[in-house]
Parts: sequence; structure tokens; C-alpha cells
Amino acid sequence: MLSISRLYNNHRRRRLFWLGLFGLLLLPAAYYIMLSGAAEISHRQLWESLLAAKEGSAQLVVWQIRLPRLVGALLGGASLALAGTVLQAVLKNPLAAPTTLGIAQGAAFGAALGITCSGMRTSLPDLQGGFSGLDESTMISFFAFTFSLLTTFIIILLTRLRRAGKESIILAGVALSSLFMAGTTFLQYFADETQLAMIVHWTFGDLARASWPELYLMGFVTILSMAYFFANRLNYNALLAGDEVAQSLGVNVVRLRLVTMSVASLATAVTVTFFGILGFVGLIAPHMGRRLVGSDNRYLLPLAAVLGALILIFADISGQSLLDPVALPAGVITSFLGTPVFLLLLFGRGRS
Amino acid sequence: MGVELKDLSFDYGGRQVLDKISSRLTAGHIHAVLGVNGAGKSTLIKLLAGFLKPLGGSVFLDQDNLNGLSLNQIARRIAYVPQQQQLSDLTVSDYLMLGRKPHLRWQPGRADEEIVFAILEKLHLKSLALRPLYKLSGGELQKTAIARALVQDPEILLLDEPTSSLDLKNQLEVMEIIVRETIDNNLTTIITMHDVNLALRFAESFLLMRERKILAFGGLDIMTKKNLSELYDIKVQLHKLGEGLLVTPE
Repeated sequence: MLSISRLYNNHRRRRLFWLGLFGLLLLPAAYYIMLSGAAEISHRQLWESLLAAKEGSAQLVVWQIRLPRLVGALLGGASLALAGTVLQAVLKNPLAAPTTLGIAQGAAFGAALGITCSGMRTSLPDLQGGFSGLDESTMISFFAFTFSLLTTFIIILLTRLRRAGKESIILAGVALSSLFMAGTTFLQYFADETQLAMIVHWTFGDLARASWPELYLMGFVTILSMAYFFANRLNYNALLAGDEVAQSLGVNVVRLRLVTMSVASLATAVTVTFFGILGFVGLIAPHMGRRLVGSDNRYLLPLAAVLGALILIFADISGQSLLDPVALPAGVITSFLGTPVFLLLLFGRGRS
Repeated sequence: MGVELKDLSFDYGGRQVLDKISSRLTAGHIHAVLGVNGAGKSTLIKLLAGFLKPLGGSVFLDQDNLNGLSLNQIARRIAYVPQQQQLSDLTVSDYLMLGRKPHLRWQPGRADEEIVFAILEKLHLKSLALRPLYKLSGGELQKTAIARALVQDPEILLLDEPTSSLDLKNQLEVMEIIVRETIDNNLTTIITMHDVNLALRFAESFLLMRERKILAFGGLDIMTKKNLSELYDIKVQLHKLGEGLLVTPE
């Protein structure tokens, strides 16, 4: 019979294997996303543009279109997946995710409001005031960001009011989402045709939307939030044993829940603001990871981040090639992908 | 070492649950907290674990007031096992590793693993090391939860109804583990119990709680017909059975 430490180490190696495998899969995926798109770029052109900084159209495409998309997929995928993972951990609800809590819908409403307001600005020049310095897209982002944070704030307030009832948080999220969706519909009714098109287009999550300055900001927020989540990985594990046991193990449960929710929402808000709604990534990636390595957050957090990035890269590449020459935004693909994958994860398993 | 309660009081929104309780619980012994539902047993355990803050009085661990210690400082000295365990897909060994959390800076290391393996061995849980929690039987689960508390290496072990959902064989096994570990590690073990006969068999010290107050506190000598009848509000009979006592309703 094998000794416990041997068995334990084998178990750990098996989990590290999955982590390594999917981590390595990122490389070909990243390479492939760099090659796919409207402009034809050969392997050689790609390497030349990346390494030799050779001037030309290929270099422009690689540095200004492809690379931002790749970085966006990595950052967006990782931050949405991690947000979903930690929200599920602190709320103890497998349905918790940025979209189910209404954070994304709040952002969509904010964007719609921003689009409508920037339309009004031209007709009412007196109202310019403090907004005059902002261009339209900054203003839309600002509104989207504000409203996604506002959603979080309301949800946290509600949970404080109800003394952190974990089930009620998801329901509050559902209620808020429908409120924001109603608000968006209301704005759409009064919007002119251009604004309507912009509002609708905004909700399609699209990786091509962000450029470098936005990606820097995203990178900053994503890395900070990642650091917080990883530093608390053992605290999330302790929550698996129940709130009281976690507290008896030295975890300040109320504070952990509150800060985690705020940080996760902030990371989501930034992603949604720049990319639009990328549904299901934050829901699916943690579930996939959990099937492979279980709920131990020491392994689940990094794996979910990698899986989230892979899902977005996959969605972006298939969006580019599925209906070529029409490039579908990644958000459309993730939503389609989400339903079957999620149902499979829920029902394709022998345990409750 | 041990725990001292000084004039401990608590109420839930104006409804008093504990009224100036004082007592000194010594190390190396099992203290059974007995009483009917609503007598304040669970509240007492929660105050001792630091989940609730006393409204009056204090809890002392040796010289230290519990109120003045941080969550992590408490976690290094007091381990708590609830009545119901929350299931998850954590493996038994990973679950036990949670017990090392208060002692860790960043990541469990070799030494922590050795502690976990040693407890697994001692409690005969070795064959379950990699089994997920949700696949354990009731008895295995309860033993695993106690093992987790022991991995925590506490001075004080708080157990809320540890045997209430177990069959007879598992009740005895779990209680035997608790007795052995209490002696081996010189723990101050405090257990709330409903089964007075199980308490009589394994505990050495008894805290009888009735209507927010301590009815009696002491060794076997306080387990009299009068006290127990008053405690449970029914007439009971005490029978001498070998070396022990047996309580039955009259």
C-alpha cells in the first residue's frame, strides 16, 4: 500500500498537470488569434512585426489590432473568470457571476444613458458644463463604469441590510438586472436611429473595442484584483467548511465577503466597460475548472483564469472565422457557447 | 491552563439567554454542557468560540481576555466543531489542511503536511485521505471534522453536539477519540450534549444549564436525582450500573 504522502503528492501532481496543460494551451491559442482576422498576415510577417519592429501595414495590424485583442482576451477572460470564481466562493452559490448579479446589465444601462446624453449634448449646448472636455466614447465608458459600480453598491447595501443572506443576493441581482434592462429599453424607445444602433451594438461584447491606454488600465485593475484573490485563496477554502468554522480558523468572514464582492465587481466593471457584455465566461470557467481540479482554490483560481482567457480567445477566433467575411463579436459566441456548456456541466454530472 | 467564565451575560435583542454565568473549566478534562433546548448551551459555545461578544462579563483563556484577542490569535488556541458539517468536494486531507490555516504565513509546507498525515493515521482515516467530503458517511464526516480541529493544535476544543446524528458504534468511537485526545494533548474540551448517559460515560465534569443560569457545576457528585430532575423538568431515576450511572425517566 502506498503511503499517504505518496498518494497526496500524486493527487497534487494531477492537479498541477491540468493547470500546466491548459497553461501551455494558451500559447498556440495566442499564436492563432494573432493570425486570424480580416487582413492576411503570414507567420513570417507576424514574427517580423513582433520582433524586428519592421515598419509597414503588417506591423500596424499586429501592434494596433491583433496584439490588443490578444491582451484583451487574456485580461478580460482572466478577470471575468476570477470574479465568477470568487463570487461563487463567497456567496456559496454556483450561479453567482458578474452577469447574474446584474453588474453587466448595470453597465449596459449606463452605456445606453451615456449614448443618449451625448446625443442630447449637441442639441442642448448650454448643458455641456463639466462634460465638455470629454469625448463621446470616454463619456459612455464613464457612465457604464459608474452604473456597474452602482449596481454592486446597491447589492452590497441590500446584503448588509439583510445581514448577508447569501441566497437573497442572487435574487437581488436578478431584480436589479431586470430593472436595468427595463431602463435600457426605455432609453432605446426614445433614442434616434443612430443612438439605437450604438446602444444595441454596445451590448455585443467585442474584444476589438479596446486600445492600448484602456488595456493598461484593465491590466492594472486585473493584476491588483488577481493579487487580492490569490492572497485570500486559503480563506476561500476555509469558507468551504462553513462560515462559523471559517471564522474559528481566523477568517473575518463578513469583511472577506464584502471586500471580495467589491474587488470582483470593480474588475468586472472595468472589463464590461471596455468590451461590453461577455456573457457566461464568469459562470462557465469556474465550473469547468472545478470539474478538473475540485474546489481547492489554490488550484482552482489559476486554472479558472487560464480557462477564462482560453474561452475568450476561442470565442474571438471562431467569431472571426465562422461567418467569414462577417466578424462576429466574441460576446455573441460566448453566449451561444454558454448555454450548452453550462447545461452539460449542471446535468452531466452524477452528483448534486 | 483552562477557561474561566466571569459573570458572562448575553441577550438576543432584549431576550436574555445567559445571566451572569461564572465557572472555571480546567485543562485535561472533558466538560459536558447539559440542558434542555433553549437553556443557552449553544450561546455559551458561541461566546467561547468568539462568534458572539458577551454583553456583560468576560471569558478568560489563562490570563488573556478573549475579547482582546484577534481572530487569528483565537484560532490558534480555540478549535470549534459545529453540529452539522458543511459538505464540499474538498478531499479529507485538504480539509484537514484547513486546520493549519491559523498557523500559516503564506502556504502550507512539509511540516504542516506531516501534522495532517499524523492525525489521519492516528484517527484511522488514512484510507479516506483523498476521498471528497461529500462521499463520507456520517461517522467518517464527524471524525474528519474533529481531526481538522486537532490539526489546528488548539488548547481548547469546542464541540457542539458531536454525536447527535451518529449511530451507537460511531457515537462511542467519536467519544473515545475525544477522550484520548483530551488527555494526550491536555485539552480543555467543552461539549454540549443531549444524551446524558453518554455524558456520564465519558465526561468528568458537568455544567448543568437551566433557564439562563448554571444549575450546578462539578464532578459526578452533582449528577444527583434532584439536579437532573430539575434540569430536564421531568422526574428521573438514577441507577448504579457497574462503575457508572444510568439515567432513565421515571
